[in-house]
Amino acid sequence: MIASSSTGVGVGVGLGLLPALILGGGALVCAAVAVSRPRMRPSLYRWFTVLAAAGAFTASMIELVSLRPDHNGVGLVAYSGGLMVDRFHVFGTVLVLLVLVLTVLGAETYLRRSPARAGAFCALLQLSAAAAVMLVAQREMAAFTAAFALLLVCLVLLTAMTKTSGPTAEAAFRQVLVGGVALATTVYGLVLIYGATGTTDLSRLDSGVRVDGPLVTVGMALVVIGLLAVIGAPPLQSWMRDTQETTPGAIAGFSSALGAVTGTTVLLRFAVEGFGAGSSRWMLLVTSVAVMAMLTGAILALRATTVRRLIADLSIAQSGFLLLAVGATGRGIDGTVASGPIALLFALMGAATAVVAALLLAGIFDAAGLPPGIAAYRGVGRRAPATAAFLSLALLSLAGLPPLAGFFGRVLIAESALNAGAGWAVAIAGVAMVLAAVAVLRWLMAMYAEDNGEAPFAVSTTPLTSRAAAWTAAGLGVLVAALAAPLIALANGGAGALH
Amino acid sequence: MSAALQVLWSAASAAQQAPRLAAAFQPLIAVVVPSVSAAPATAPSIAAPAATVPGNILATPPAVPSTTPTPTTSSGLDLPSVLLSTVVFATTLAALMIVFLPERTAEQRSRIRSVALGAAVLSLMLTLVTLGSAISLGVAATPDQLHEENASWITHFGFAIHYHLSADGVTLSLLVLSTLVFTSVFLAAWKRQERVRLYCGLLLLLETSVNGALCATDLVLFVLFFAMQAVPLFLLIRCFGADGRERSAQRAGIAVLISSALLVTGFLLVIVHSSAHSSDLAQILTASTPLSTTVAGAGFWLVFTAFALGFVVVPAHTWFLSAAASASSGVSAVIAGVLVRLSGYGMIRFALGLFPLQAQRFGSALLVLAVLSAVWGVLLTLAQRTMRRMVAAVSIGQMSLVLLAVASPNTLSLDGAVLQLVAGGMSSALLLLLCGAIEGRTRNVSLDRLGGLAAQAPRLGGFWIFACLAALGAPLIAGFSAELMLFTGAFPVHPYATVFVMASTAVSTAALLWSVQRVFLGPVRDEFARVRDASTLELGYLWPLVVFLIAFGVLAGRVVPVIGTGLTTLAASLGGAQ
Repeated sequence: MIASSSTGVGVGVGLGLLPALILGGGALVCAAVAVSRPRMRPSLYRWFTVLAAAGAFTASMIELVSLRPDHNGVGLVAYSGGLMVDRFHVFGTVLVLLVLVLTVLGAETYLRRSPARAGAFCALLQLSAAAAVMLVAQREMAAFTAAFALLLVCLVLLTAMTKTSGPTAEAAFRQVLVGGVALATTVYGLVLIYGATGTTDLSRLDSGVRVDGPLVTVGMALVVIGLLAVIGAPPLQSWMRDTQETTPGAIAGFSSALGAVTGTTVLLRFAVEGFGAGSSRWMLLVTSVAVMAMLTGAILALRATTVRRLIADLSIAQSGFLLLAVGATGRGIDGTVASGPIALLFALMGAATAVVAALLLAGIFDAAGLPPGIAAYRGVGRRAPATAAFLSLALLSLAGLPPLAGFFGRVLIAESALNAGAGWAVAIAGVAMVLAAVAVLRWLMAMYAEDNGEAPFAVSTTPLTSRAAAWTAAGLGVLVAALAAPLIALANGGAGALH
Repeated sequence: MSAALQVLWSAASAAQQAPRLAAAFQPLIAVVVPSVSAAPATAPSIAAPAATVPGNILATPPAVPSTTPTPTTSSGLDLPSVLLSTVVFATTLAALMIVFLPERTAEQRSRIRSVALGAAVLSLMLTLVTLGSAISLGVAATPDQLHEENASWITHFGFAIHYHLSADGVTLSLLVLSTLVFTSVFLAAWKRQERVRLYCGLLLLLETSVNGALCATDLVLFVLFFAMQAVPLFLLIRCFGADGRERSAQRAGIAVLISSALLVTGFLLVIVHSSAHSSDLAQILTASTPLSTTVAGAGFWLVFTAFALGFVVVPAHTWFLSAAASASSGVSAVIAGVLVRLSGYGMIRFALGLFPLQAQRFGSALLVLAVLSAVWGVLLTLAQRTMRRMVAAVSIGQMSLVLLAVASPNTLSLDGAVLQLVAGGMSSALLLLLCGAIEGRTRNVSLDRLGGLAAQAPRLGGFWIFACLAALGAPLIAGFSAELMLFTGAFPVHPYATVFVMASTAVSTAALLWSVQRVFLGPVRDEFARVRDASTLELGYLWPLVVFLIAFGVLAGRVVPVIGTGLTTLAASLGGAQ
């Protein structure tokens, strides 16, 4: 049964908002405790965040069951269609929560180093996650803008709060600038679309009077550019490179993964429910950006001299692949609907876990006293075999090599894009995939084939929880590949809710 | 020697319109090994009437009637249905096991080697038992797919992906090659003391990828296994190679990666445009709507180029020469003996199998590439100054033979091509392992600085002479049967090109024989006075290769029909194309 409310806040609406409310409540509690009892043990904040995430997950599952989704997977349409609680939303929520839990468990090193900031740190993590969860469900422009702004502010604050050096402060400042530009661009874009169509509800864009006019096209382009900033795709990718290079691994991983998950899922909802699946303008725009991101990231990765920079560049290339899926939504060559949404949701699982894992593992090496340059990583495979092996797995997954999750994601995305008629983009994607793999092989060579004497470093100084979280995140790349069939079935269910 | 015989045989076969060598081949085998003549080789496919139209190069009916149940139910062996998965993943499990084994002491390193060798031997034994059961049943009783594991894997997407492993005669023959070479290489590494865990682990992963690719009948599954080669291959060359390994590793890794990217694109193009909505090869081949000419043409060239890179077709051969020269001898043996042959298998199974019309349409271009590879292979062989590079150059020539078969496809030439892949792989692996043994003793890789080793190492010399004979295709060795069939099949279709390639092969093998003179004969050199002959361990990994080369040569009359059963579908599609 579809609960529907266009006026007040009923039980259904409350239930629909419950995951975000739990996370928001958790953030408030953490902030309040941090203010009132500043000497509280950092681990308490960490476990409280995990608890909040578990609560939000439970709420999502209750949503899924109690809202009795219709055959399209829609459980709740509230505020005249502005809020959609459907399987797509649940899928996105679970992904966000996964990123949150991995981050908070992997951030032990940072929390021990800066125990006074633990409360604020966990509060911001939860608030970012709450904003992301809200964004995935939004179809109303005003509410969407508010949630988007909240997400951007939280991510900027996270980077700024964890600054430990001049470069970190510079990264935070750049993120403020890019975030501001992104927000402004998105708002301008939405305003133009509203001006052309006369509605702030994305699902009603098609009924607009001048939906095919240039105003909508420009608005659409501005919205896409704004969201690209969160994803970390060109031309607004610079903040991601800086953040990933200068902030602690957990923060960098969280920002990147959350940005990728939120940005692409929101774009997908815009694509399918807003502009209509298969819109040629949309496809051309998004596919062009995707190609640019794939090539830019892969080429930059070839020249990366630090492991953080490598991960950042691979993330940019990966965001290109994800965008390729966002563009593949229309009717395919074979007569069926292109499977871009399914491919995207599945690929996001591998992409998010790989980014988080890679940055957490890089953070472990940082904390162990290993400089980030490629010269320092020589012989790491022999001296820290387990951590190096997991880092290799994460990098290989990011590059899309088999048999890891990244490979499956790329194959599914390439098929969807080919089916949607973007063969040229798939050809370029192939080139980008080879370049990215070569970049990773270069690092594997340093890690396993070369030696750098016995420069002192010890990964055992990193808390076990952090290491376990990093290893788990890397292992998820293998697990997602091994469980590809059921997970794709889940992604199919999630994507099926878009209409 | 064999080239001259082959010319005569080809001419005779063309004149008589001989259908398949297996039939014509029986009297020769019967003279040499009477027992073999009693084998049930007079199968329907062999006894089929010869073609009477010169253009009709397919003399065998496409379908081989199966009169008895499959081996799994009637052979008495009752092999489990997970046989192929065991062959493929035994090495993966071993790799996972050795990750957790320490390697500080000699005993611990020995344990790691034992686990790796045990997994390789298990895969070899299972493969041999399966091939043995197929041979014992004979061609009439052998179904197309001797063993098959098929399960739906990913169904909730635009197309269905299957976990589909199958082993027909072609696959089984190449599986024997793969598992045998890997087992020999593990034995060859028995005395390795440095980084044993990494070396064995990477080799095991490489074996998984090769065996998986050989068994995979689903396009996505094939690419998955095929692309898995890249990282182990790169690291094996880079970590355990000799001078120039950095560049060689990079080139080999990039070659595999480009091949994989081209394969992904080509296969997806087929999947998207096929009405089967599946990546399963069998379903695509039986799809109701054929691919459009443009799509099939693009798909063919993508897939062909992908395999041509690994198949060392000139001008994409350079990575192979440097990799074979720079990698450790064991890894070189795997590259030349297995990985290159895997691409040859892919060329026949996928490039030809998926696009039979295009293969014939662009046959002239393939023919030019085959001749170019053969000629260039000869020139390279003559120009080399080190043993390994010379052996690698000979391999390029060998692969041109297979390309010749692909350019003039019929059941006879393709049977020969598959047998050539097996024979060439074994002889190349044998030669490269011997190169390693000689280099280890003399600390020398240059042919000019070697000589007179036969006095100190007569057994090594004997193995080298045998390997050279195997590579040139001497009678009673697998290469002879393979080349004979291949040339006999190709000659009626492209006589001039066949003669050209045959002549190139003759020169190339003559150069290889000359290496016997340069390395082993002549006056004894003082610096090699203390060189020792082959040890028991070396005999342990060299003899199996020798035995199998002879076995495949002597029992060719029984093996070839089994191989032929794996080509019936392909033959049918080629027949349809004509």
